[in-house]
Amino acid sequence: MALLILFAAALAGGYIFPWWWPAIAAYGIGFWLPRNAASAFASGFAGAGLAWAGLAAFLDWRNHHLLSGRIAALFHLQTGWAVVALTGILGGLMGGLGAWAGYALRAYAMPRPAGVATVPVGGTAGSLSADGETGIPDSPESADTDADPDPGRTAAT
Amino acid sequence: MNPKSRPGWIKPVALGGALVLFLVLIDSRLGPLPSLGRFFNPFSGFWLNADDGRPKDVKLRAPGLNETVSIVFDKRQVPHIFAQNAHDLFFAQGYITARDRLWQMEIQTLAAAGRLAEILGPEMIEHDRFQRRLGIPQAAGQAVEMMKKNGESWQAAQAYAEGVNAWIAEMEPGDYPLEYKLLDYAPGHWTPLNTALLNKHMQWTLSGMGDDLPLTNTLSKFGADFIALYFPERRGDVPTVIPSGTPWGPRADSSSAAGPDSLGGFFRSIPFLRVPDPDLRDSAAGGGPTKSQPAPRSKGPASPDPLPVLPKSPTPGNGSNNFVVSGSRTLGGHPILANDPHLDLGLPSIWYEVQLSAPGIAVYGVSLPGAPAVVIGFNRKIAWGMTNGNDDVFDWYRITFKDSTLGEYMHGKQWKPTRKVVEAIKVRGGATVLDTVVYTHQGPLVLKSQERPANRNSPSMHALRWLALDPSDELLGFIRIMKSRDYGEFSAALEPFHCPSQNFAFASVSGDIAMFHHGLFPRKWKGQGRFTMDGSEPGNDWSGWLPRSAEPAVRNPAQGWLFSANQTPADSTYPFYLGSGFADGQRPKRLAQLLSESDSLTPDGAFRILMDDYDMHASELLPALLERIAKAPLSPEDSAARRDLAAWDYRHTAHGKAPALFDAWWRQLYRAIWQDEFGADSTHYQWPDKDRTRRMILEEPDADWYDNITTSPRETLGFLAARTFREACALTRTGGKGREWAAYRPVQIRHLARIDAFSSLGVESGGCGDCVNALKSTHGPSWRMVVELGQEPRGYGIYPGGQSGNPGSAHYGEFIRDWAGGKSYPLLFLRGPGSEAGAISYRISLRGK
Repeated sequence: MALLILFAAALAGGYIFPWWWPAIAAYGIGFWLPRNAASAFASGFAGAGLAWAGLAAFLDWRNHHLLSGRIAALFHLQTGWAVVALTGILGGLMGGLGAWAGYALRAYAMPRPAGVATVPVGGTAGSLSADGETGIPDSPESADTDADPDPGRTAAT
Repeated sequence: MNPKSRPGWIKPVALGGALVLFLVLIDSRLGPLPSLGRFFNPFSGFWLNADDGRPKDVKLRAPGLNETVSIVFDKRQVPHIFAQNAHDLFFAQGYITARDRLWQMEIQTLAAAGRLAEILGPEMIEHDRFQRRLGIPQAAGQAVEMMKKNGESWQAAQAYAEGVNAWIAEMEPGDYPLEYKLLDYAPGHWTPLNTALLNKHMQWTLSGMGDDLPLTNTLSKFGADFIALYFPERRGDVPTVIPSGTPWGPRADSSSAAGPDSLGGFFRSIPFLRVPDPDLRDSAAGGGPTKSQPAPRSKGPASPDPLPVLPKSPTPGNGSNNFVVSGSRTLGGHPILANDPHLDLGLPSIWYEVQLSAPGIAVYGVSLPGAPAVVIGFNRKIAWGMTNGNDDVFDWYRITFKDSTLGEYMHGKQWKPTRKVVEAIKVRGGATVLDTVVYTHQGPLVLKSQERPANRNSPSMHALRWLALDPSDELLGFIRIMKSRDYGEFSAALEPFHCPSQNFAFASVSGDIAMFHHGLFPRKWKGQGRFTMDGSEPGNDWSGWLPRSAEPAVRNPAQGWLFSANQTPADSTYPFYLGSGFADGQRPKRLAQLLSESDSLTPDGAFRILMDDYDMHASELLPALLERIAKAPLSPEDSAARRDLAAWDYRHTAHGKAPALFDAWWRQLYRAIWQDEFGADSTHYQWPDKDRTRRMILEEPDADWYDNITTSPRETLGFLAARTFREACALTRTGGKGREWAAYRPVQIRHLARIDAFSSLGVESGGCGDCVNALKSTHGPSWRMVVELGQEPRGYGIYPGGQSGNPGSAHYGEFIRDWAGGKSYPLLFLRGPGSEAGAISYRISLRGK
């Protein structure tokens, strides 16, 4: 869910707002939707990254990979696809960091009420977006994230 | 990790900080890299320059136009502009040229103005300072004032500027050309001053040359006899631009023709100049034997330290070809004109093809992005082409100042005040640099004491007298040229064109052919300005100008053909001194040979002449050189190379191996002959040129110069030839085989900002500096054009680039392959916006209010 919303926001807002828009959008969405840090980062990275890489890939295809080849040479990359990937990574890092930071603020400002049960689920971007849609409750499961549950989950789903 | 072990706010703050840090990182420019965030943003960064190549017919509103303008693009993306009046025509030319070439237009003029540091930062300060010291921004300002006075050129430049600005106003930052995004700046407002600056840039390229300083160093080291012998002012065996036997003086066709009887009287009416400086006269006038000082071989008395010479900017050996053949010598019975200006090869190309049509104007040709009108081309009645005139209009004067304030200088036994102009060089990411340019009456003091600007040739404490710093209005010339309908109008149209002097070839549908060696020529004594001069001696100053009627020109000569290749314009009967920097190489000899042999020329044949890759330097020299090494002991591999070289047909084809070996051999030999005499600081001196050295090898096989003076045995020509042949074999051998010419001399068409990724490197093509197809590594035929002047003139042309200046467009370098292969395109000269619909790619309609 967070991934799709960010993907759409990054695309729509990209034509209106400055280049750092995905970071702002991801921050807001990270605050609003995800249930744990890993899912925040992953959905943020994937949402914004796919928006940037997707648009770049479309423009590249329409251009018969002419410009991407030249930019690849400029940055000492092997192929134009690396330029598309780099575009995605830059967008993705903005989205991922933004969503994670947004999520962290939320976790600090509105901590989860004690005693709410959690059910572990996978932490990948794909399963997270599916989670949002099916309403399966999630849980922070990984060791590298803090065990801050998402108190806003009910509101979000 | 237990989250309770630290305060809860740390995490959101740290992550927020990391986010901001990341954004700042990809926002900033690191070294040469652009802001990654901005640059890669697919909504406004470089991805928007990925041209989809699907142009559509569009209708646009362009406030500022009086009437609607139709712009029709053919399959090669050449705009054919149809306007109802001259204002709208030049507006549309500015608009559409900016659409395709804006970055190039602007960067060239910023470079000329000495404003690159504004964009590229502190490392361009010395470049900018040099441009200011040359006086170029000041001179461009004066040129604008002159255009205002003339009216017609001003209106054209104004309308062009309106069009450029209309395009700029239409762009969002995402639409900016790629280079703006890469260098992270925005296009500025365009004014007629930019057009004037572009003209100064061309004047610098084509007239800002000369070897005054290195030749002066050679004079002081070797003496006047050496100069007289090894730096002849003209070569006897090269045909002049204006054929020998052409009468000088007012031409029979001009309205004020005085008739042949009065020619003597005419020239007597132009006072000849006395030669004021005895020291200079001896050498300048071609070496009077008055000082019988033998050329010292370096064991002689120490000569003064040479003034440093830095690699020159305008390429020595810049050249071009043009020729016209009258209908009596063509298959179709119509005159044929051909032209290929040789310039630095670059991307985006220096040329932009265009057809301009409005009441009273219908012209096709190439334009310079940044200036209205067409520079080389044809209309329905005439065709014209240009090569550089190479006259000496760039002289240096040694200045004696009263003191270190540079406030007063000696002239005619008097202290005279200098004029000082303060130039402000803005610097991106740095403080503005103020620089004072000191002017004497001759011109600007380009280098003050001890100053060493990067990569230019100019003596310190010398004032520069340069014709390009005088006001002139070449644009007015081009506007009148493209409107000309016959010989008389063309001749009159040249009048405002002063600098750089050009050989204008002309042909008309009415059957005329002509050649004008035209420019504004200072009246000089023989040899004046060949060496640096004493600035305190008034007799060394330029004094007035030759009248137009004294220019070397010819119309419809009996031989039926004319050509120029930057060689000496007129034979020794021509009474005025124009300079000694003419390119009397083998190229003009070969051109004359081909043209004299051709009595039924076709446009195809004319194009083949432009592509001719026969090297007369090699054909004259190589047999004699091979003779010298006939008995030299060589390895089996080198012997085989010698046999291959002996079988060479002297053609510089792309895949031949002999041309690479010969070229390497010649370079090694030339250096082996002269390097020792000129010593460690040899680059500060002018060396005898290729042609004189070849003549020496052929005619003076026992000259002293072959001996290497730094070794005790006496080297002979045969010894040097054999040694350098072995060196050349080793140099050109890769993997046991000789190297092909195209690999030895790869053609490099480099992006203007020297960005390899936007350049076309390793283009394979034939040709050589001494060939008619004078294609060197980074320099060569920048536009090949042939026009047959039948009832309907028919043109053929090609340039090594493409109409689009966008490296992300398929049209960026689309002509390069065909250009390298020697092909040409028929030039589509449309009658109206609706004609030849099958040849049209798309249309733009620009509507006024």
